[in-house]
Amino acid sequence: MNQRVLVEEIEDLSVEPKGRNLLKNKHVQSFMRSPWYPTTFQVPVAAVFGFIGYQLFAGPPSAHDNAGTALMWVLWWPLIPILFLLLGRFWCAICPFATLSDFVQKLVGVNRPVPVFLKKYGIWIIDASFIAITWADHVFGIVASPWGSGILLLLITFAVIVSGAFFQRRTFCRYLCFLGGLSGNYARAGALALRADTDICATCKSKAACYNGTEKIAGCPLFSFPRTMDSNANCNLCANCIKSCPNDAITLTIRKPTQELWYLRAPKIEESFLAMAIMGIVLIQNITMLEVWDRLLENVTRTTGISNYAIIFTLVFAIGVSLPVGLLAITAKVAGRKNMESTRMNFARFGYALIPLDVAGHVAHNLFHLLAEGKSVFYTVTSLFGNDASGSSALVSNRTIQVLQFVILALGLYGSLYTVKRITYRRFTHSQTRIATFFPYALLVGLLGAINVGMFLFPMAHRM
Amino acid sequence: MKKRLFVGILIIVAGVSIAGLLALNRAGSDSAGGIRIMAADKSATSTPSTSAEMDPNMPGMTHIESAPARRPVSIVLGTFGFGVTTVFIWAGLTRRRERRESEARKKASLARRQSK
Repeated sequence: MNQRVLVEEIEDLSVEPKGRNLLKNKHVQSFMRSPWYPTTFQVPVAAVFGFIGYQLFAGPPSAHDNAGTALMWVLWWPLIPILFLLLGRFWCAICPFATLSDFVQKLVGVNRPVPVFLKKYGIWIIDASFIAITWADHVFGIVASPWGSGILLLLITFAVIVSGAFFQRRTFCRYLCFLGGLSGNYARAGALALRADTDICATCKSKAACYNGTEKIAGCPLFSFPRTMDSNANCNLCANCIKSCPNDAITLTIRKPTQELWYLRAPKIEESFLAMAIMGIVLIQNITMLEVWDRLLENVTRTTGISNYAIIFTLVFAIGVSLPVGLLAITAKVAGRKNMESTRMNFARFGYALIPLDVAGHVAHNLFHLLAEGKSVFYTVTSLFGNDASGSSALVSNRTIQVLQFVILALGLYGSLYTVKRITYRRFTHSQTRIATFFPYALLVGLLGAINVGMFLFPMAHRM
Repeated sequence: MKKRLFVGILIIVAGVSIAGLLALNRAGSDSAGGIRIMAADKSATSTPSTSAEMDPNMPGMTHIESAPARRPVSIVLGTFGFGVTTVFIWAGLTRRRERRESEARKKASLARRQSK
């Protein structure tokens, strides 16, 4: 009987409601349509990154005194998840690597189509590279060394040049960039959405100018077709489609944060995996900055006899990254028994619900670096002009930072729980199934939230 | 042809990545730009190895505070420059050849149409 009822479950396929169209405002529209957008942002950002690169290689060898390290790891890196949440992948439109890719393409671009294996496995490459870079940071000390940060920038620059020289549009940004994968995931929870009015698109005779571009305007750099786009993950708000659409069909709306996650139609397991891996990475980043980390290292050395830091860290890192993935897999298995969907489908569908908590954990972690070390940006940059001011690098007290961290975590926790509820209610119509699905995932969200809260209770080490 | 291109790209990327890893390894043993180098004390019973994050006062660790910061900037930038130049030349030549082939194809098709 129960089974028969469950078989009759019908998924709610209603589409995401649209908010107010910002492009109706003539100032916003003229700004987005202007040839100065996004160049106005690209040029200064590229200049600042050029300066960062120069400082990393030619500046003071100590991270503590290096303006490149301060700008990169104390200012830019902490601000970037906040930017993703507020403006989606807008950063990708003004990213200096993307600008470089476009430049290389104009210069020598062969414009080959994206290889099939990249289309198929690109997101797994992103998952792997994100994990590898975090691992390398700890083993090689990338953040702690301007030299290491410089090498990382050079490696990324080289990959971007290869991609821009041989492949179409921004292949690297869409299929290979680890930050693109992160921003794609976070942008889903963001409050800004670019879409097309499908009713207008149905009458369009311009041969997909929004995707292919026109004589004057390039096509979509991230290979997205606005007419069928139902996610922010692959839109960088470059406004090419807004400029090239002859029918003014493109809309830019403000929506409720996390709303996109409630209406996902084709969840992908690799994207859920990335969300969980990010959760694990943030946990590892937190734990390595706590006092307990040194004691943990000593204990591992004492109990296992392994003395090589790289091996110990790799073990802890593997466990840390696997923990949230494993917990979601177990929860998916438990929920799958009740809601009759496969474990794989459960994993893919509900992994997205953890994104708000992911973003919150990430922002809360980085908030410490931004607020506790923020003044180091001022000190290191002004020292280049002969100012030798020094003192505490904190912008606010540790207590204030902790309160802010808990507020952000509470919002993330609420966002994740609410998303679990919305996904459950959209997918399952029977109250029994809804309850049996909601509770295991709510428990998982609560557990991961509690681990995060526990970590932020302890004082963290500084980056610089 | 397509296969050769991908294999070539793979070799270049792998080569530069290995060079990058070797350079990064120097960053690991030269944390904070060579100000403080930690090396495993072989005489101690418990010997944690190098790490940028490790407590400098951990048992079994000795510090070489005055080690010179040797950063092979010219080698790294030279390798990067060589890699980029190779990619540019290769991509430029490929683009030129493909354009020539495409023009030849167009001419041939035009000639076929005219002869009909």
